[in-house]
This record gives sequence, C-alpha cells and structure tokens, in this order.
Amino acid sequence: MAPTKVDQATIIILDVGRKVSVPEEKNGQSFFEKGRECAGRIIERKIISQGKNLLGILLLGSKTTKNNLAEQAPGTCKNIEMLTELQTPSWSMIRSLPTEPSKSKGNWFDALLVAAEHIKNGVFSTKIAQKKIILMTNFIVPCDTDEKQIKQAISGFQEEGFEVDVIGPDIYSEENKNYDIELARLFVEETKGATATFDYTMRYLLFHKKKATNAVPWNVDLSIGPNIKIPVSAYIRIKDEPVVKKWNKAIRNPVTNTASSSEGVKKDKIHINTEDQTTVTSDNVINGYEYGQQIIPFSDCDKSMLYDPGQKSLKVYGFTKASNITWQNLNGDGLSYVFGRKHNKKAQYALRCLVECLLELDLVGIVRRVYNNGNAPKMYALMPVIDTSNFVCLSMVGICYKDEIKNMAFPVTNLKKYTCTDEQVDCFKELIKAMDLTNAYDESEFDDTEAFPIAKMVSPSAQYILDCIAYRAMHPGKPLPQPRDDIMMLFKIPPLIEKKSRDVIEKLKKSFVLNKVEVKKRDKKQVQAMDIDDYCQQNQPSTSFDITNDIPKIDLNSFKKSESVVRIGTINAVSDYEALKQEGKTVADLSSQMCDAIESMIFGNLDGNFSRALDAMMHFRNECIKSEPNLYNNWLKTFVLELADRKRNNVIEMINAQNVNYILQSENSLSTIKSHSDDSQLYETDTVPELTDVQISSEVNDLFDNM
Amino acid sequence: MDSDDEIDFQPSWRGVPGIIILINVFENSKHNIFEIAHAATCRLIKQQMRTSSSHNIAVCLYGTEESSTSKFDVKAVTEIIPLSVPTLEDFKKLKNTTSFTEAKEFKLSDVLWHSSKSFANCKKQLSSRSVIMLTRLDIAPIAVDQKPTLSRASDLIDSNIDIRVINLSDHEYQIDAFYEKFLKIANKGMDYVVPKPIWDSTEIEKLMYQESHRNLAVAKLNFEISKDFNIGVGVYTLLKRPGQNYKKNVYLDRETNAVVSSVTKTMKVTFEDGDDDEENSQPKEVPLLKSELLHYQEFGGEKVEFTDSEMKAIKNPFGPPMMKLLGFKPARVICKEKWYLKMGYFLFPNEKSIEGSTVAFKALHKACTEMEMVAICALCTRVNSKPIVGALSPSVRPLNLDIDVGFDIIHFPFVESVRDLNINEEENNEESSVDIIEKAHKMLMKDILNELTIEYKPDMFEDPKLQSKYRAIEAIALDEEDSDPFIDTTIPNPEKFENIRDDLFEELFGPLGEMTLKRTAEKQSYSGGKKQKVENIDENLLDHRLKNNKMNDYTVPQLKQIINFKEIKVPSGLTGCKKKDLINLVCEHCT
Repeated sequence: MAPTKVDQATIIILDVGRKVSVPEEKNGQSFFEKGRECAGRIIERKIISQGKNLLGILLLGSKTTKNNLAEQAPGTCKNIEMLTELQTPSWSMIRSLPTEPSKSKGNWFDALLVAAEHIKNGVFSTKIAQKKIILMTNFIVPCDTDEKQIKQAISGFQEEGFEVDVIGPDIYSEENKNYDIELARLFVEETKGATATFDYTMRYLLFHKKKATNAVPWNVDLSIGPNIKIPVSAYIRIKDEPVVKKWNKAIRNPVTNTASSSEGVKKDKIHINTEDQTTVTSDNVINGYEYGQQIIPFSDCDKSMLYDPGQKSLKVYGFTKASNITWQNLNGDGLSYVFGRKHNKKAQYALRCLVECLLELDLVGIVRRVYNNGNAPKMYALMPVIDTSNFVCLSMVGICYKDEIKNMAFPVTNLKKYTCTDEQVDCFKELIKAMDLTNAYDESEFDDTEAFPIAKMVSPSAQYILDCIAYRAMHPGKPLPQPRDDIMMLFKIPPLIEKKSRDVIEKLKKSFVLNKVEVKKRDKKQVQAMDIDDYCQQNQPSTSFDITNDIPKIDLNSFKKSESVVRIGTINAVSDYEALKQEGKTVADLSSQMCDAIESMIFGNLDGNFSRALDAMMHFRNECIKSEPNLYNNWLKTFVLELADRKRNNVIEMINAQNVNYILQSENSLSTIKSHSDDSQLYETDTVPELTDVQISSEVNDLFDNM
Repeated sequence: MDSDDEIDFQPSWRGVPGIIILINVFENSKHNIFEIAHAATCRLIKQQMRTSSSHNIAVCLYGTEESSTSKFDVKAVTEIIPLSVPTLEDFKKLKNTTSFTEAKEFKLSDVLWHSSKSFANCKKQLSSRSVIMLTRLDIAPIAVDQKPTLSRASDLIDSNIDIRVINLSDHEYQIDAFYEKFLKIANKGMDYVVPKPIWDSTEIEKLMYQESHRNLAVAKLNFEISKDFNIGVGVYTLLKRPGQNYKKNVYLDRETNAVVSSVTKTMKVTFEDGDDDEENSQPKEVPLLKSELLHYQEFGGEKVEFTDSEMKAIKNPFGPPMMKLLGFKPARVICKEKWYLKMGYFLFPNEKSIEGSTVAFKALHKACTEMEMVAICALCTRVNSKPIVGALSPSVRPLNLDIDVGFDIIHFPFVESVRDLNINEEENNEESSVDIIEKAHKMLMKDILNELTIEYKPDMFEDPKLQSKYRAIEAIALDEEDSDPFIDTTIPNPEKFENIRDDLFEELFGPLGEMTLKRTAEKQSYSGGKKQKVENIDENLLDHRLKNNKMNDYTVPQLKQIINFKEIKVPSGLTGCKKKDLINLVCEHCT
C-alpha cells in the first residue's frame, strides 16, 4: 500500500502536574489553565482549517503512566500519559483534556523522547512532511539529564527532522533563567523550532484559519498572433468564496434534535406547463426565448446558428496603455496569476521578458480567453505584477463587454448651488491628514502601524461563521453567541485616529449644512381644496393610493395627532372630526363643517366610489344618535332634497341601503321621526358595527396584498 | 446567497418607466431627420425586446398631415406604437413606417396634449414618465400654436412628466427663440443648456436609452463620516455581472410550445426499518417543513448542525445596512493587479435623504483627488449581505459616461479570499537563474508590443455569444437576415499580426515546447477528421467521389490521409499544400 501523505504531525505535550497548578499572580490563571486553553485553541484551529494533519496529546505529570517507552522499560518515563495518539484532530480531543491539574510531576525530557518515539513508530505507512512537538511546561520540575544525553537526543531529533516548539514561558527572559530553560532553548534553536508566550500565542490564534485550497493550474498557450505561443499556467490568486462552500441538509430528529438517520431530504425539479398545469418531463422541455412579448421556441436545430467560441485558448487581442484599464472596467470574478509553465524554463524566461517589457513600456495586454472547448469567450486584462511575495508574473482580471455597461444617467452636479468652497475642501483635507490609517497605531506598541491592511484583515462574516461552528461543536444545544468584540473591532475606527479626528469633525460640522430630509408621510390633512383631492384620484387610480388614504380608519381609536386640525377636510373627515372633538368641540359646533365635508365629497365625486362619504355620514350619524339626533335629521332632510334636485337618485338609494338614513325615535328619544316612510325593518342598528368591521378587514387584506 | 440584486424598496420605484418618443417630421424633405430618428428608435425598441425589458414605450410622429391613428382623437399626430410594452407587431409596424404626409403648417401643442392623455390613460403603474422629442430646433410652430404649446408643456411638467429634447442635426445652427422658452419650461424653469446637435443613430439610441433607464440603487445609505455627520449617498453598479444578460430564457413544452415553469420541491423521505422485507419498504415522501431542516457540515469528525433559522442568523449578525468612514490611505496602495476581488460599486450623492450632501460629497471628492488619497470605509449594502471593507477612489466620467463626480467603491480582499500559491518554492531557485533578461530579447519583445498597441475603450468588445444569439432569435422572429451583420469583436484583425517577427521570436525564445500532451490527445479524438488513421479509407466513397467530381467534399486532413494511404509521392512534402493541389494529386494518381 502506498503511504498516505500528511502535511503535518504534531504532538502537544501539556504539563498538568503539581508545579503548574499555582497561579503566578493572585486571582490570575495558573500555568495549567493557560496551557489547557492554549492547547484547546490549537486543536480547534486545526479542526477548522481541515488540513491534512495528525495530532496527538501527551500529558506530562499525569497521575497515570501510559506510554510506549514505559511499557518497553517499566519504571522509566513515569507520569507521562499518551492521552490521544496521532490522529485527525477532533472535538473529543478538546473535551478529553483534564480539567484539574494532578498532584504528580513528570520529566519533560522523557516526554520529548516519548513524543519522538510515537511520531516515528506510532503511525504506519504514512509519509509525514513536517514533524512537530509542542512543549508546554514551565520547567520548574528539573529534568536531571546530563549534557551528553541531551546532545545525543538533539542530534537524533535533527536527523529525524523533528521540530521542537516551546509555548508558555518566555525562555529568553532573564527572570526565568535556569538550567532547564537553557536546555529547552538549545532544543528550540537546534531543531529550528519556535517559541512564544501564551499571551502571544493566543493573540496569534485569535482568528480562525479557513480551509486552504490547493493551487491548481489552468494550462494553456498564451498566443500572440498565429505563430507565437508561450505555454503558461494560470492560478487563482484572489476569489471571494464562502467559508463553508456547501452545507449539507438533513432532517431533524425531534427526539434528539440532531440529524435523523432514518429520514433524508430529497430535492426534485418539476416542470409545470403554465397553461394546463400539467407536469412536463424534462426531456420534453425545450429552450425558448421571450422576445417582444412573444415566445420564440429555440430547439436544437437552431443551435447551429449559434456562436462557436472555438477551443480552449488565451489569445492576445492587443496591448494598451496601462492607464486605459480602470477599476470600472473590471467585472470578473477574482484574479489569477499567470506564470510560465512549470518545468519549462524557456516559457518562464519568455514570460518574464514579457512582464518586464510591459512594465517598462507601461502597457497591459488585452486577451480573449476560452476557458474550455466551447465555453463562452471572455475578455481579460493581463497586467504585469511584481508581488511582495516575489511573484513576477501577469495578473489576469476579467473586463466588461459593451453589453454589460448599464449606461446610467445621474443628475447633473456641476450646478452653482452645488459648488463647494475652498475652505470646505481644506476642511476635508485636514480630516484626511488626521485620519491617515498608515499611521494608526503607536510604533512602540505594534510592529505594524497600518490599520486595515489590504488582504491581511480577516473577514468578519467568515470568522463569525467559524466561531459559530466551533461554539456549536463544543456546546451542543446552546443558543449561538453574538459576534465577539474581536470581530466587531474590524468595523471600528482605531482609537488613535478617532482621537486625532475629533477636532476636525467639529470643524466639518460647522462648515457644511446637512439637513436630513424627513420622509414625508402621506399626510394630506392640510389639503383642503377639493380639486386637488380629485386631481390625485384621477391621476393615480391605483388601489394602493386609496388604501394609503384610508389607513387612519383602521387605526381609528389609537389615532392621535400632534398637529392641530383646523377644520374638517374631505380626505379624513372622520379622523378630523375626532381630532376636533378631542379639542373639546361639541357635535353642534362641528355639525356644519361635517355637513359641508360630506356634501362636497358627494357632489365633487367623480369615480362613483362613495365609501368615504358614507363612512363620514355613518360617523356623523352615530355621533348624533348620542346627543343631538335632530342635527343629523334636519341636515339630511335638506341634503336629500338637494340630491333629488340634482337627480342623484343613486346616492339617495345608497343612503337608504347603507343605514345612514334618519335617526329614529327608537334610537334616540329626542328624534322626531318615528319610522322611515318605507321599509323600516332594514335598519337595525346592530348591523352597523359588523358592517364597519367587514370593510376594515378587507382593506387590511388589500393593504397587505399590495405590500 | 446573492444579496446584490437590484431591488429597491422605496415605494417611489414601484411600477415601470413610461416613455413617449415623439419624432418631428415637419419639413422632413428638407433635412430628412426622420430616417435617422427612425433608425435609432428601431434600434431602441429592438434592444428593449432583446432584453425583455418591461418599459412602456410609445412612438408618435408629429408634423404630419391629419390622421386618425390617435386614440384620443388628436388629429395632428400619427401614433405608430401606443404606450405599452412594445411587441413584435409594434416593432414591425414601426420598421415598415417609411412614408407619411407632411403637414402644411406646424403645430406642436396637439402632440403634447396627446402625450399627456396617453400617460393619463395608461393602465400600468408607471414609475417615471418622460417624453423624448427628436427634433430640429429651428422651426417654431405657427404663431397661434405657440402659446398653447408652452402651456401644454408646463402642464406636462406640472404633472411630473419629464420632457427631454434631442437635437437632431448634422451641423450647429441658431435655434429658434421659441425653443429657448420651451427648453426653459422643460427644464423646470431652471437654467438650461441647449442640447448639442447629434447625427448618429447609435449615439441617439444611447441618449434615448439613458433617458429611459431606471437608475436603481443597490442601496441608499447615510455615509457616516462621524457619529453625527452624515452624507446621503446612493450605491450603484455601473456594470452588470458577466452572464446577467442571459437571464431571459424560458422553458417550453416541446409539444405545445407552452411556457413551462420549473419548481424545486423539497421532500422529506423516510426509510422504514423493515428488517425482513427490505425490498418492500418503499421510502415515504412527505413535504418538508422548514423547521425540520438541519444544515450541517462535518468538522473534527462530527456533524456540526444548525437549524434553518440559525443558519439565517449566522449569515449576517452585523445589523442593518450601513456605510462608515474608517480613515484614509494613499491612493497608491490599491493596486488592481494585486487586489481585484470583484466588481465594485459606484457612489453618488443623494440629496433626497440629506440635503446638502452633494456639496459635502464634492468637497470630499476634491480633497481626495488633490491629496491622492482614498477613503477607507466599512460597507454593508443589504440586511443579508456580507459587510465589506473597501476604498472610495474618486472618479470622473466612469466608463465615458456623463457623470462628473463620484467614487468607485473598491472591495478589499480579506485574508480568507487570498490563496497561497506555494508553487514557486521549488522554482524560486530556478527562476533566480533567469533573472537577467538579455537586451536583444527585450528589444524584440518591445517591438512586438509596440506593433500591437491598441486604444482600449470600455465598449469595444461585444459579447459574441449573446449577439449571435440575438441574431438567431431575430432571424426566426422577424424573418430578417440583414439588420446589422454579426462581427465578432473579440477576435482581432489577423492583419495586425502580419508585421510581427514571429520567426525571430522562435529563434530567440524557442522552442517553447508543445501544448500539454494530454490535452492534444483528447483533441484528436474530439475532432472527427483525424480520427480515422492511415490504415483505412473508404475506397468506395473515394471512387464515387472521383467519378462524380465531388472531391471537394473531402476535408484537407482527409485528403492527406488518402495521400498517405495510397502512398502517393509528394515531392515537396504535404505541409503548406493547398486543398486544390491535394485534390489534383489524388486525381492524377487514381485516374
């Protein structure tokens, strides 16, 4: 069997003994607690990044002794426990870390030997590219080993290619100096390992690492004219990809709340004939095209008329001044780097020559790319680039087609009222100086003073998703946390910059007049003139408009207005009435206004929809029933007469039908009218509230339909 | 999840745009503006049909003899297309409109009245209403008509209908004083600029298209300079994403040509644990409830699961759309050749949310330009879109459009978007050996580059696949082959390459090796001609073709095969032989 390849095998040696259990400062964390947290973070990072890694955990100073060397030679390598052997990192590793330190102590040098032995012999038929031992101890327990043995071990480690990292104590600090730390330093230096304190490590591991994508070349000949062909390989360099490419779907088992093993999700695509609602099988579906309101069927035979893009290729169209290609021209998906073909020195040489000449002449290439035989061609810009990581190559970015330009028009801004003064510009210049992000952090505290470095910032959304994954794995069933502060920091102005900009901001506020435009509510209460109302109705016969006008009716009871209503208008007669009543006016005070409003609503109406007028009448009538029935009855009498004069019999009929006829004595004893001349059974007051209800609900429905 | 779709939630964007195109044909015999206006309008309508746009467009002629084409009994107008989404019939009608009778006296008021009626009677909800007039501006209407015209025009403006005037002429001329008044009204009483005369149907089409276009913003936001200092801005995309033009495909039933809609059904399937009769246990299918769905991904040997609602919450926990200034950086830090991530946005001031925004925006623009700095900001365009950090780079006239101020919003790639290319670790050493490029080589390369220099314009390439598809559809729909011939703009003129010294290139740089072998092998099996190896040729077919003088039916490779098979001796070798020569060779040998 061919050996499996693994990028890295790591063994973490975590000291859990008595000597690491005491906090260094009062109320601080002990070395053990810090070590445990750090080990957990390292495991988590390895899980999330999903690399080809193996990980093992060795406990130093454990109560039990369990390791290969101890088995081979009983009595040696005591208190060293192989907690997990080398394997793919998993959440259970984090869970199995001991929560309490032991009362024993172990020898760190022995632990190193155990780890080395395990990496060498513990896994079979596996080729390991990088072998790492991470030692987390404070070296308070001496190893009692003579120099000769140490030297021997180091040379053995070197031979096998082991790397020893020490995390935890600062092994270069004068304070911590002891013999064991000196030895540890020797290990680190001789095996080309690394060392860091817990604080530093935790800061470094603050954010997750996404699963890496292997660079896969797209191989093609870059052709310049018919005869020059340079073999090249293009690699994707920058691409916006989701952190988890595809989520799998499963059914929740209601008992365990986890994915069910007996139920699954099935997705089907069904084609339905929109005319007769029958299902059409997919082989009976053909492509069509909607053109000028007609459907043009486009079956296979017509495909011969279609464009043949040709074979996979990358053909130079020409070269143009670098400044001709601007950010606005680019609409591709990410960026690729183009190198001369691997192992083809001549191609690499030719490409390098091309890159240098393009740079010297300040030109870029325009190329036509066919990704694979028959794929639609796309145009790209080929720009020379010398990258910080020493790539000398061409960078390839998609440029737009004419068909993709939207040809937008914007309002003119070079008008006199939009001119800005020099003082205003200077004010912004001051702001720019104050908020220069290349100098955002104090040099003495940070290595890099630049804030928001391009391509070095982590993506807040990606980090949050990975956070959630880690949290859910370790805390199943618990609700997900909010983004942590470390992530939210990525949207905050660095404190130093904020401080520097404060004064300039004050100055800016003074030199510009910026008024927030209140979003105008569709409040037409102020509008009194009849004609405007009707004009709106004529021009916008849409239902949405009517509904907006009617909204207050729905919310009649809670309707409270801040601005005062002067008189009853025609648009919201009912609410106007209510508003004025709130101000203390009586029915008698308001009746003439209300009557005017109702009359103008009916006489001025053009669309034949009298619901608002009738609503107002209903309201007026109900108000009058309470106290002054004759107000209503007297008005109605003259009004009906007038209607008859104007031959508006339809309105009279409506008044009869809608229960807004005269108020009867049975409703209020003050009324002088005993019964309607015609069919009085129709007007039963108890139907009134129901009727209003019905109206409202249908309007609410319409309103939501239109939203 | 794609969050950048152009949906604008402001109610003012409800409905579709309505456009009435008015073509002045009075005294057409003198200037013949009809021909060019007609061509431009045809193109516009065609483009609308191609993209299945939902714009309502009407086309009318005025300055014609009285006709009865108007629905509203307005005589002086010839209505070719009523205000609606143009159909194929409408287009054909417009296309075939070539003759009309010119009016004896020129009236303008009627046609404006007609337009206002058309809008008033349009059944669709219109988001915007505009009248585009294609006319010369030197002949005023007759004296009695002037006053009514102006009052009709201000009526239109008052009812929120825009009037745009496109000045059709091939030369500059003095415009009539009447039109000065007219333009002033059309420009809502503000100062106006006399439209420049244009005389190119594509330019006219572009102008009309711009006037009719809906400017949908991706987002309208308050750009937060500091906590209580905001500028109103709109975020736009000036380009479509590649492939966005291909959306208008529909599916049809092969039998009836009825439109077929496709629905994706998600079902829950239950597997019964029937131990003894596994064959009989049919999986049960029931509709799936969203609450039953789990999303999971395997990490660290375990399934990490989220419910559907959690999944939504994970996607954006960062709150509502926002735009916030973080600081400034020198413009040189943003290199497109290194950091291009995806199509950027365009930022334009929005007076409608905060008055005075344009002034502040312009001041910021000017300050950035003069100091060669870019603003860095955090931006989240939609509730469900990922927040980004980007640079605002001041731009003028983007894509040669008539926009005098604005910022390009450039996406910064996050570290997660950058891929490690661990490719040159081993090759670094190799490459360092080729560090010095010889002078002669550079000379040649530069000669080639200079020879092939072109002037790039953003609109120089048309999507050949899309264009040929449009033509194929139009060939069926309109029965027309002609229109404009299809030119593949992505393929350069081969003549350009005639002068480059490829022989010298080969000599200096070559041999550069073949295309990867694996691929070539595939291609051979792909292209049918080479498939038949030397062993076998169809001799009967050859005989048949020889006798019937149909040798031209063979392809060149097939002919070469025959020559190889028949072991015909070719003195100068087969390479470079023309087809005619090959046929002659075969004929001579076999007869």
